Amino acid sequence: MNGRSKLMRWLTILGMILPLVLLQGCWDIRDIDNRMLVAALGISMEEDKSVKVWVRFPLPHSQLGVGSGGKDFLTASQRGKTATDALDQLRARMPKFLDLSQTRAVFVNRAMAEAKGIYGCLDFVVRDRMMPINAIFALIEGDMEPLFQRPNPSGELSGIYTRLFFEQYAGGTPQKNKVSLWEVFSRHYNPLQQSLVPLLTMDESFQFKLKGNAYFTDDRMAGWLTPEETLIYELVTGRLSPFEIETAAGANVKVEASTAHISAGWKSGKPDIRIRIRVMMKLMDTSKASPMSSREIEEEVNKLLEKRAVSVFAKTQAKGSDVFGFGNRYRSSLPAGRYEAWGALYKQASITLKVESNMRNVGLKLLRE
Amino acid sequence: MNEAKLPLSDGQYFILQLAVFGATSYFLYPYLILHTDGGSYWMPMVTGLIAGIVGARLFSGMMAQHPGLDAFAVVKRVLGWPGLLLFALPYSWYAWRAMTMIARAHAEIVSMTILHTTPLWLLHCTIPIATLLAAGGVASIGRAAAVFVMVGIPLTVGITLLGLSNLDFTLHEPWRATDISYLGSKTFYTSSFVWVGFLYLSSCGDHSRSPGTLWKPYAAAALCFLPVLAGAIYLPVLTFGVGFAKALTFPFLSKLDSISHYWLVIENLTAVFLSVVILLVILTLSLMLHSLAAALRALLPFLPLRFAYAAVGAGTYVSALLIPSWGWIEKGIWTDTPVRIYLVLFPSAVWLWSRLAGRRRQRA
Amino acid sequence: MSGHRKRTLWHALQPVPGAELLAGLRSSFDGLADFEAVCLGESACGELYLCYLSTLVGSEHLLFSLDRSGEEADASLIERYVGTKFAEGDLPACVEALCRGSTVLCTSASASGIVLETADWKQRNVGQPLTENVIQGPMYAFNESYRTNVALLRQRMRTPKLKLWETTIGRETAVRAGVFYMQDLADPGLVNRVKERFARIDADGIQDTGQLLRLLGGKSLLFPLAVTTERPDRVAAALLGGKIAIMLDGTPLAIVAPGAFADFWEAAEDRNLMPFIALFLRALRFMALITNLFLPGFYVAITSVNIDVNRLEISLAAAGSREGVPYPVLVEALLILFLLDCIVEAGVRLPRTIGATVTMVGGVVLGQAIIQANIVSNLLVIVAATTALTNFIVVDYQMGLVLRVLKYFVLLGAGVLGILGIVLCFAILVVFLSRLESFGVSYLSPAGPRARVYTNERLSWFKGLKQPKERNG
Repeated sequence: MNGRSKLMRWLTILGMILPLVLLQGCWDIRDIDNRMLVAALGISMEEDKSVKVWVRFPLPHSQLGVGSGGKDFLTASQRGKTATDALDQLRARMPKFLDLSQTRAVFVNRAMAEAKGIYGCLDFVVRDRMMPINAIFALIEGDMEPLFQRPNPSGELSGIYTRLFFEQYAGGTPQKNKVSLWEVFSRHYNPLQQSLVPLLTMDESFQFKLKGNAYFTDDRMAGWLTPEETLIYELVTGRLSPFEIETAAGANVKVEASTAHISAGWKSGKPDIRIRIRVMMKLMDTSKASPMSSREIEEEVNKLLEKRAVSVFAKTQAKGSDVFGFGNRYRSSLPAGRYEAWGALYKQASITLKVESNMRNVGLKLLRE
Repeated sequence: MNEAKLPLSDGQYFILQLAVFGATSYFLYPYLILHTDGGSYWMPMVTGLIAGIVGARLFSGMMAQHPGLDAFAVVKRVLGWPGLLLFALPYSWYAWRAMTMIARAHAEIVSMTILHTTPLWLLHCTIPIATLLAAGGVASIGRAAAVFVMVGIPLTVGITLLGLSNLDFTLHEPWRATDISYLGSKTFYTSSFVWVGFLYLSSCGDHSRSPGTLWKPYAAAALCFLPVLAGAIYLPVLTFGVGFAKALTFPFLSKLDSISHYWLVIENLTAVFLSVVILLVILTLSLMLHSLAAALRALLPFLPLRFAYAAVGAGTYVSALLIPSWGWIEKGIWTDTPVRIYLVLFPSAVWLWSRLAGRRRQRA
Repeated sequence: MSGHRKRTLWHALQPVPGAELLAGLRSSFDGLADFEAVCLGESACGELYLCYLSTLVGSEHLLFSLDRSGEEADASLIERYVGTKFAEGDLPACVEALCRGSTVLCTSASASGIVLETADWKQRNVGQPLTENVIQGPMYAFNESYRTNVALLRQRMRTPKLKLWETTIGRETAVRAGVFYMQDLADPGLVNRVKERFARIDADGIQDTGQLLRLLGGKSLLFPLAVTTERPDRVAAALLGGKIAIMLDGTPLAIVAPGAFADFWEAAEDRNLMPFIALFLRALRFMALITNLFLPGFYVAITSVNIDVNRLEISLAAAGSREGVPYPVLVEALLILFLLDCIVEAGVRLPRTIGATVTMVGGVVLGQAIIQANIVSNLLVIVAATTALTNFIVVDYQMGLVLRVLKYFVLLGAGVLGILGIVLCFAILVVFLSRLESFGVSYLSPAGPRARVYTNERLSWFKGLKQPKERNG
């Protein structure tokens, strides 16, 4: 009994000392006020082929007042040989810990995407898990500086804004085509599909605006689709949310839902892809000049979309950039060794797209008065 | 502490098996299955499942020879000392290695994903906790299992369900059932470590009222866990495509990283998932520690129970610290494959021997 | 009947040579100012004496001392006394009886005396429960009198199957303790085990069931091993569920054993409410448990280790509120929790009139000032206040105390390993609980294998209370 209680006493003392020992080594403990959280990260290529990294830190509102002369964010940039190198040098300049774990958006400038490719400069993200791979990814045309230096005109907390710009629950539209970092990575490893990444430029009243969506070949940017052309991509891949289109005759309809049936086969050694898209739409506005029946509007829409599709397919086929993921449908019929050749096969593919639109209703006002 | 034998119900065996599956199937299994030849990943999984159930059937057949005894006592009674040596020595070797590697692998995962600089000696604290649990006997393992599984499995399944977002079904590899080239790949045999959960129950088989049907809870647990297991492999594949999934060390964890929902309160699902899996790991480790201590006691009956646990716990802790690298774990699980298969097949020898003995007795 | 009694009574007072009950009593109670031995007069057996402790006895004895009809206080006098309960006892029994408040009638030469139950004990009335308030259900509670408590329970359960086993504990001041159990419902092994444990108790005296619980066994240093309650309805329900109840003289709290962790989360009125409401309340309590235990730890985890678990907006808010706080998050959290525990403890211990003031000063003034002085962040004050609030939802006081201690443990775990630390602390807690047994039954029941084997037979209680329902037909 005595020995036991003695043991207990020792154990108690040990149990008291152990936490103290543990607290000595604060391995992963960095208090939140000792970190600077990056909201947006930009990587641009300079003329001398060096990499410049831009980071934008939102500054917390504290009782002690806001730093940085009243602005609610701080921007820093750093040149380096690679992105990792630049970030390393940036750390040397910072008073607090550089925390990338809450990054909302990653931007790469167009020059970088065209010359070096995007995967090469972002490899470290997957390996180290220092940045969330569900961050938004976009390309920037033009200078990055104003984008990072300018206060956000619409007033939201910077960084979060970039995410809201794309998200369906906020400002997202089908044209904007939200892309996460992991999608870019997975496309890089998938020869059967290329990525389609939004391309942004400066905007006068807002932070930025959408110029189009860039398509890639072998990790390099090969060209871009206009926002209207992107709708075809949305229709084919079924990612659609409601959008409006205007027919040639001036009628305005809202596409509410669509389903795409894609059949992928072979025809004399070439891929033969047939797409049938059923579109449900709603009338928004009729043209005053030439009133049309709903059948006529449907046909107009069919014609318009099919015509637009032809140009989109032609554009991407010319560069061998299968952003639609048609190649995935050939996984079974194509031997695994020939996956790499899909780019060339896609160039020769015959693609036909047929649209069947259906006017579900004409709104609260009748079509004919 | 608790010498009196408490019967475990089939439900409790089911829970224990579920925990073993949860603890063993996330760290290496997706990687191994993704690297088998052939490309239809469901086939190695189903083959493993069937082999596992057959193995469990054999094992419970052996246990049924002498109900009320643990596996080592059964072997000793049927085959005598040489048989016991042939079984308990490889078993101890295997259990020790498996334990060490599971503990280290999870410490390593935590280190790679959430706590980058925390030293390993602290992350290995799962082993002392498991030792404490194991020292409480099968009864206390069973109780803790009920709580851990109640917390762990719903969260695991829930997180797996969250993974159903962003799926693209054109990304799957062909479902062809004819390609059996996976039978030739090394990783397929390595992946068998997931299916031998029944071995870890060797020391508590004596708590069952009918050891002959012990394979049923195993089969039920395996079938129930199969969808989750399939999720661990197919969710990354259907999100990332095979190429990227194969390039990742932990495809499923990266898949969890990619999830993003407006309504999801928690951002970093990986941290939550890993923490929950650690619960199941503690449980599995304690089961293995318990069976290893039982094996030691069968070999050295004079060993005091408390000392056996302390020795096994300390030994595991030290050897887990001594593992040099992640690559070593991958290799280690592969090199243990023959031992594993030997241990699964051993019960049939016991069974055969006892039948022969029975026939001889009839003739005499 | 009375003739028979008379005979036995006189028999007890027969003088026995060498026996000196009166002298023995006088020497035992030497130095007790309130001890009185009054001579009633002469009877057939010699001088009749009435001995009592004047502070404990009621007014009945005055009848004997005042109403002397001459010199013959004899049969007729005793006859009138037949209305009161009485018994016969030797010297030790008489000493014990006097301490209880009885009066001893003896002659100077008898070996045994007649013990008359004249006790007039000071006790509270049966009142409302003080620690377990309910809105729906019986409104009365046990008090400090053992007899009253037994009577209350007997009134609720009018059946001879309700067995009562009694013993006394304490070498110096003996206290009566009783064990209730339902025949056929309670496991005999359990009852035997408790009786055995009672025999092993070695104490000078015992004041409360909390003390008794620790003496009755269990190696638990932290968790209470059985529920203590002051509500007769709760005890009755538990008895019908196959448990046993232990009562102690001098305390209103009865032990209901064996106890499991889940029992501490069940309020007395749960059975009286609609099933969905009861479920909701239980879920609420469970959430409160989780919040109380893990919230401070979670705060520390997400502000110092696993920053990326919450949204950027929350991180920024936390960073903003912590700007200028000189201490690490862990120290900050320890500081405010310590302060809060002090306020709570002060509120409990102080008289009610001052208690409100303390809460005011502590909660409002200190809370506001501590934020403005930049010692803790205001987010943490919210966390701490929530923690304190959820602690009061815990039904059982003892369990509430345990949680108050455990949150520091979880806090330390979170401070070192973040979320993983919280989970590991949870694991350690469960491991400890899984090894605990209350009166031989798993503390974690109904999870896992329930009980140890008592008499080569599986424990048969815990069949649970059969839900009352309408009879068919």
